[in-house]
Amino acid sequence: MISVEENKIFRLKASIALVYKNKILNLFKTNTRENLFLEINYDNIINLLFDFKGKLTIKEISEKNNIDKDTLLSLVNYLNKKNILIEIDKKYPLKLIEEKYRIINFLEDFCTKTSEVIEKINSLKNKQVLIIGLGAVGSWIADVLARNGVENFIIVDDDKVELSNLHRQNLYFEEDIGRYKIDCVEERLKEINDTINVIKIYKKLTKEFFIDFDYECDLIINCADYPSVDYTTKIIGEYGMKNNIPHIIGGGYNLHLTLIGQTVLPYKTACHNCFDIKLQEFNASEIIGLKKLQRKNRKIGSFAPLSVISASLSSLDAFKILCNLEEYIVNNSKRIEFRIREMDFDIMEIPKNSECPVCSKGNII
Amino acid sequence: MINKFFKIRESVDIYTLPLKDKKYKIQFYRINTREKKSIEVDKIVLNILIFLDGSKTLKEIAKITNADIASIKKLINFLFQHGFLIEVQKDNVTEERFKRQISFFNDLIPNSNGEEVQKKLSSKKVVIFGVGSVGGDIAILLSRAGIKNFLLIDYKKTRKSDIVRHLYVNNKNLGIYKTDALKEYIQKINKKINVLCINKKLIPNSNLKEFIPEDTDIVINCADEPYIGHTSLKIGRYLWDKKIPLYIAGGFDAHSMSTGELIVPNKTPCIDCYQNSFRKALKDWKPSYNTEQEKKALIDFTEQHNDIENIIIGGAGSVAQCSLFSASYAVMKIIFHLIGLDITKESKRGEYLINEGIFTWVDFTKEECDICRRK
Repeated sequence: MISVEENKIFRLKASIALVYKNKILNLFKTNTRENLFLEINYDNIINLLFDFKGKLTIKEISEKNNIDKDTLLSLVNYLNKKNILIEIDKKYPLKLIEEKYRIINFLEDFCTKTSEVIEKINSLKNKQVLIIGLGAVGSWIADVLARNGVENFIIVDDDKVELSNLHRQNLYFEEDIGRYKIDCVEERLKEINDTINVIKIYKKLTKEFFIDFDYECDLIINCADYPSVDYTTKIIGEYGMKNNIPHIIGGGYNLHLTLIGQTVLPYKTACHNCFDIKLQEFNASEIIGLKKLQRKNRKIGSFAPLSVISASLSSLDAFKILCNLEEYIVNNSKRIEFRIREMDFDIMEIPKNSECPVCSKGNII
Repeated sequence: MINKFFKIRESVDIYTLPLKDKKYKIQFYRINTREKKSIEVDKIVLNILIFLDGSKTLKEIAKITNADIASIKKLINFLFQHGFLIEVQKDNVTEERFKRQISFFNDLIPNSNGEEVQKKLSSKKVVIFGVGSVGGDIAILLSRAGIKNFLLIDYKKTRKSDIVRHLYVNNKNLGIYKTDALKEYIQKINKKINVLCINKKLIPNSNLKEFIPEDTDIVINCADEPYIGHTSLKIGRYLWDKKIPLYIAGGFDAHSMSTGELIVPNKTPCIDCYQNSFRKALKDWKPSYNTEQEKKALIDFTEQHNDIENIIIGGAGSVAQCSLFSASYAVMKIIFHLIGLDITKESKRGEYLINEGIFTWVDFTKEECDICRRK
């Protein structure tokens, strides 16, 4: 085995900041802002690591620096696991570098080999995303995912663009007023990438929606709030759980303006019902016996930056899921609220409920 | 007063609980800020609250609910005092486009008039240095929010690789000045927006007078060449004397999901305060980077390509959602500032940790600085 290992080629990522002082090597990953500290008794360590430029093999570097090969091998393997060194097992295609080097650099922090980076780019291309509701949150998510390289969309909305949408919804212009939202979205996504496929469904999300829904999808993003977010969440939650499809409940609109919606990986993280159980307990302890006074003619305020903060964080989890990086998602099993006055997040842990009738019994995959 | 129209603010939920002796406990709850206030009242007050939806005058409500004018007035004063109520101007037609945002402003600022707030916001003049992914997203969000005067500064032209992160760039507007592409985009959002473009690069001896008009309300710096710190120092010192606020946006190398920071002359720490505190904090931290690369070892190509010479493989990486996050955080603070709302975290910078889902904060208030003479 060793003979194969020593011929491998690695590169120290340019985004890593290195400081060596008092026998401590500090490796700071500038893209993800993670720190690593190693005690190393070798003064030439930075120059040694700088030899990993994606050209010389481990063997050649060990000979050049006159270091024991096995010691170097174990250091390389460790730094590779920690995403400091990346193995060059495949050169990047020129076109990919020209058009997408920022995404490649972003993905390198999650990959141990360059072939894995290319795989993830292809994964984005091949997966199909269902977005329900193309309003204050969904319209931003669709735009961003198309720029990430997602090429297959199913979009669902029966609304037409109105003047009062323009202050918070993306992709729509004055000239679009009166057109179906999803017609505009399709047009804009194809301008971003003409190989994008869009399936349009001019419907509202109702209990009957999935009866004749006959498409494969790898991720569902719910941004529909009619007649209420709770109603649509339940429909998506049930379908997602039944079919074992990851789903994201978008926050950021109507009564959930300051909410960062939760991401659900079926049977792995808290499901919609775990949330329900927890929130009912929580609300009950807070306002026992209180009833809401019903008032007519209510129009809740809306503010694009809040919706967009929510949309950007949901689409970051979406990106991770579509790249098979589920272990890195952050909006799962918690209720995250953006507090406007404090301009910071308020996070309540909602762990997967072991007694939840929806996700606990015999369904574990 | 009795002939005027009032309504409970949209963002206020009202909860009720019957008590003894036909009394009720009422809890007012601001859904956006989670603030509460409880009182005890008679049943008649409940009825009045239901009718306070802006469609009837107080006189009419008194008649329907059988309430006496004096107690209605008392209730109205209470509701006003706590910012739960707003007067509805029947002759003042809310601009249809912004009605939901106006409603948000009504919720956000107790005892304010959302329409006035919107008018104030719309009149502001904004200068943006650097309209890349963050600067472009900021311009788009501000345009949608109702800002009507922009000066955009950037010397670059749109390229295919911009599509990945610039929300205003697509296959139909490649190869033109970024400022012109963005101008066209935001004027499609609202054709009443005025945009001036300067297609020049900011360099150390640039005369900022030629870039920043005297009547500018805020300058947003997203120019990260050669480094956001350098351009911010130059712009920040100039603006401090001119008493013009500066927002230094996040979203750049090593700060891909940063909140950025707002500098308001004579109020917040100045640009030198910020830079000195960084210098101090990082004085023993002199990192090196493995940036020297032989492209042929890493990329599969045969012919010579000049376009990729400046690309650093494995260097700064980011996706569109990172810039959009930084932009939306910045725009929230910028709008709050422009409408005169005091916000916390004024002299802090947050870095959102991509794999943890939380902010880490750096505080800048403690610096002493000769330049702005803050203590």
